[in-house]
Amino acid sequence: MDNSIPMELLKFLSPEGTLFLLASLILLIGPFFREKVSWPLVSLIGFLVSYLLLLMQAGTASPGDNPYASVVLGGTLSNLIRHFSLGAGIFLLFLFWDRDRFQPETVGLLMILAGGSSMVGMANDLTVLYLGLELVTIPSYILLYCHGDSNSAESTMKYFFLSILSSAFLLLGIAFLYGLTGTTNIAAISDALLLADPAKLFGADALAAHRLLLIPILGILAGLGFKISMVPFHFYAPDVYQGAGYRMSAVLATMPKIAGFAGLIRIFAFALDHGGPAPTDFARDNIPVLFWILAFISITLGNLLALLQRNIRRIMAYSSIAHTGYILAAFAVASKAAPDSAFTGLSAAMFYLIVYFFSTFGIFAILHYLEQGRKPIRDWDDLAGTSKDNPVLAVALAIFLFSLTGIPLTGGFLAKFAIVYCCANVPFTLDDPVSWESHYLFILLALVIVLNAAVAAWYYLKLISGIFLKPVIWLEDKSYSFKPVLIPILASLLITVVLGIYPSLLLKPKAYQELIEKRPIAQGAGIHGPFQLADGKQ
Amino acid sequence: MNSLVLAILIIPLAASAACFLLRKAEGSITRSIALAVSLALLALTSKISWDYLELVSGHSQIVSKGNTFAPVEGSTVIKELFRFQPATDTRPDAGVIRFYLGIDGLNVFILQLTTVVFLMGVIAGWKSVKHNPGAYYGLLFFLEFSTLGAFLSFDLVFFYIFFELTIVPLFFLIGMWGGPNRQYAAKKLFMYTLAGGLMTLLGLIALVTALGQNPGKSNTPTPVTFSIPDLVSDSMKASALVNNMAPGDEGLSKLGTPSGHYANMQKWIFLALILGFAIKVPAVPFHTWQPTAYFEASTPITLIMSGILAKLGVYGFLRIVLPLVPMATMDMAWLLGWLGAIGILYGAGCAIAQDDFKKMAAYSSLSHLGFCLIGIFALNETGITGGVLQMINHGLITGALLFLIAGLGDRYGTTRLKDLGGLGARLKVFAGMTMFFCMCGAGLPLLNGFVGEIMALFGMFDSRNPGYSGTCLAAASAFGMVLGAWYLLNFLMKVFFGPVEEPPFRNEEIPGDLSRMEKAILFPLAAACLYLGCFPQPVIETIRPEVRLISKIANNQVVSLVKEAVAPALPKNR
Repeated sequence: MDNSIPMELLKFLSPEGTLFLLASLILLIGPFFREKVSWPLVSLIGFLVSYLLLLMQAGTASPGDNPYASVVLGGTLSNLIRHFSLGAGIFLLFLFWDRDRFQPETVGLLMILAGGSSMVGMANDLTVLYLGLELVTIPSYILLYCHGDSNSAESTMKYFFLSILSSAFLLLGIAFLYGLTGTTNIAAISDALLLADPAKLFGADALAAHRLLLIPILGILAGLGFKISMVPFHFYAPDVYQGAGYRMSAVLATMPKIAGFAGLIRIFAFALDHGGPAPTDFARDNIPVLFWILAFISITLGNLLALLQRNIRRIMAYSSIAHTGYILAAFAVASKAAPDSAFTGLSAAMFYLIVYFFSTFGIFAILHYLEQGRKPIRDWDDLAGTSKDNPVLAVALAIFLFSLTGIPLTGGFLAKFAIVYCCANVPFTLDDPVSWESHYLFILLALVIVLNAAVAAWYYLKLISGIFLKPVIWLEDKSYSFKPVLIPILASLLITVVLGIYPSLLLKPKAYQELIEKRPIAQGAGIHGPFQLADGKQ
Repeated sequence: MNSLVLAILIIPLAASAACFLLRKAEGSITRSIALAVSLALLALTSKISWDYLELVSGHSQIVSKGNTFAPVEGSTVIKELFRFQPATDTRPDAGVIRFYLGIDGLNVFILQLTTVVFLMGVIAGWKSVKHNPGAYYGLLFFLEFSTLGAFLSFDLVFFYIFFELTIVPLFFLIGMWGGPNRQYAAKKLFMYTLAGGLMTLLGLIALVTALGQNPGKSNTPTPVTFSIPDLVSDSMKASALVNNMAPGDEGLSKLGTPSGHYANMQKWIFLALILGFAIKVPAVPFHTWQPTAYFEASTPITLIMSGILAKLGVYGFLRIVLPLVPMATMDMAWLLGWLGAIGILYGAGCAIAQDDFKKMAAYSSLSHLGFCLIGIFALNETGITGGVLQMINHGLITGALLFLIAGLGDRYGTTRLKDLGGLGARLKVFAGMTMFFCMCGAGLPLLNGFVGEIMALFGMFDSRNPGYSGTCLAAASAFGMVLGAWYLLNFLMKVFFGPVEEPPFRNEEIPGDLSRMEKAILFPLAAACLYLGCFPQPVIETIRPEVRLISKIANNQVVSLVKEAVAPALPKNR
């Protein structure tokens, strides 16, 4: 075994490494120079350096042959998520540009947040994945406390307790997988579960093996489901967003979701890859079913509950739950595409996530900007008069809301279109009744998506009519000054519209083919545990 | 011709942007820009129609076109936008969403109508639009852009994009410039149309995937395509396959063949598709958004909605439903026929009961659009021709009537019946023109309203009409023509004859007769109505190839069509 310094691996990890190093530095010395340095600028430079390092890898980089290199993955998908996380970090940074009490801490923690999400995206090892997720979660507690509005303590407590509970579930699932297979390498776990012969272990009782798998699957879903605010684990979202202010809502509605979905993709890769090998038939057949059910209830409940809200942040919280559902629907259908079809649910899900990020970020950022120097915007009718005193931002806000509704010429339309198309295009064969069933079930899911998009239009329309149609009783004397946050708002607006007209930039068929094939297996993995790799593998 | 086609799409978009940028400028500047752009668009579409007529007049076009649904050569604009499947040798344009525009007999006159109606809308709002004219005309041209785009599209996705896009400017145009209850009306319109449109989207996707999937033994899907001409030829092949099956063949009942599956799927796809189009038209049980929207919108917007946007739904039936789900259309045409007939009677009944000229026009629009449905779902050549003619005629007539109503509103600030009476004494030409267009609407022979309605009814009466008997529908609808004459004459009598009743003048200014600008648009329009009433033949000849093809497909006479077009691809008759 080669034990020299793994240069290739270091180079591969350098973007995140830069972020973490600089963040630690800022957190260490920042408190002593609070007022003297423009911390966001320092942080922006750090982000840009890290981004440059990432660009230099040119997407095809692999972490090398080193024995430690099997913990991370190169390739298109991991590259996309890394770019996306860093970009999201930069966008969110602009929200915190104004000088305030906790500035060095804030920018440092944001850098850690972005780096953590990026780590999840390239993880090929459960420990790396868990570490990345915690790097997203822990800074958000502190940020939430520092930047929430008057109820921030309450919402931080709520978020903190529920979040550590979900992390515990995730850890339970991970530990269980380790117990079953004796490794934390995700590729090795998949292979071990696939190649092992449960009958040898459990005799005739094949279901025993399935029962063993159920616990890690549920644990991991519970853990990650919290991060993405999927329905049975969504209860925190409306309350926390309500108490969090627009800036922190923007962080909480995006970063943990990117990380959570990246984690789902990494762990359940076998269930998302069409035509790929799955660990057991049980998992291959049932995880899409699980996603189907979760998507169904997330979409429906999210949209229906959003109808009842008046508070904008609560509306957005429920809408984000519904959007999680749409992405889960794309996950559910991901493995069902025809073997030669290039356009799969996974491409649709990634596209949706990206469009969702820009639209949601745009909405929260504009509302944060509009809140300056006037009474806080809480309910939808507080928006009245926006179109009068800031017509350009009012139009931008409307475009973002239309994008979330799914109106054409915005990214949101093509994102929904892609998912509905995937759901309606599940192939079936004549001699296989099971395949008909899945065909019709997914058409049903497409119907659910379409009906819910119509339901969702109602509350988005409520916001839009608040902006444009609500009569203004009195106009406050407001003057808006230029703020750096306008830059990312403009950028998200451009991206939302361009993706709606020319989706080929990001919606790429055949992009994520290497989900299964190129995953390195750690050396010496899978020696312990009931599901061992076959002898030849070790 | 294709640069013209692109131009009529780009000009309104550019004009829209210009108006938004000029929103701080004087109202008169934006108004003049709006008028100039509308006139330019009218000229461009006239040029397109003229070129098309020349192309078709020698019948060379009809021969070369054969049995495809493709736009005429030289008129297409194609830009590949998003490819989700690699191209195959047999069909390079499959697996891709394209920006695909074109002209054929179905849309050429409707494009013309669109620019005419928008010009009328611009002039009708000449005086009444005072608040924020830049944004108003910006939205208006965006609406024109999306409407023209929907009529021009030969790609399903782009058709849907433009179709759905119309509701966005409309929402703001009603919600910001409408009457007192405008917010409610705008929201209701948006929700109804969006919900229906989304069902149509699902139907479109299901249609494309159902045609693309080939769940036979070979398990090789045919490449998915969104191009309407390709889909039509696929659909014809599939129908031909089903027709060739022996009775009792397992195909239809148990998904025996790909086309059998297709036949099964069709009725669901049909229902999903018609929902959006029926809401857009609107057909009767889905019309509840319409009275509020038409009445709360300012009159120029009502003019545009009724004159051209309603046609989007009818056009959707013609372009998509009839040729792409022919078997289901055959089975369920009675449903739409009934909706049409009920709409005619219900709309006429409601129009009689109204106490306001504008509300009467809204309901009469509902009634007259019923004739389009009746004609189209008679499924024979006469009926469909009548439906298309009725689309054009109704656009002209209702446009002119609402234009006059807008003028009445400008002059007196009200369109309520009890405030007005005997105006014929003061507004002589005005009264004359109103009477003329009411006669057109009532279907007086030699005027254009008659031609469309009577052809639609002939189509329905045709006893050879396979599949279902339309005689009682036609009888019911014919009664609607009588009712139409009743309410129109009723209104004419109340408003223009009898003792003079006028509300107090606004601004102490005595309302004058038609202005020069109003005359400049109404007189040519009246001439067009007269011409179309006396000599509809050129129009009928021009739309004939498409109409014949649609009626053949819808009547399941596709076997012969497919044999002509793609003879080798057909399996032998079992």
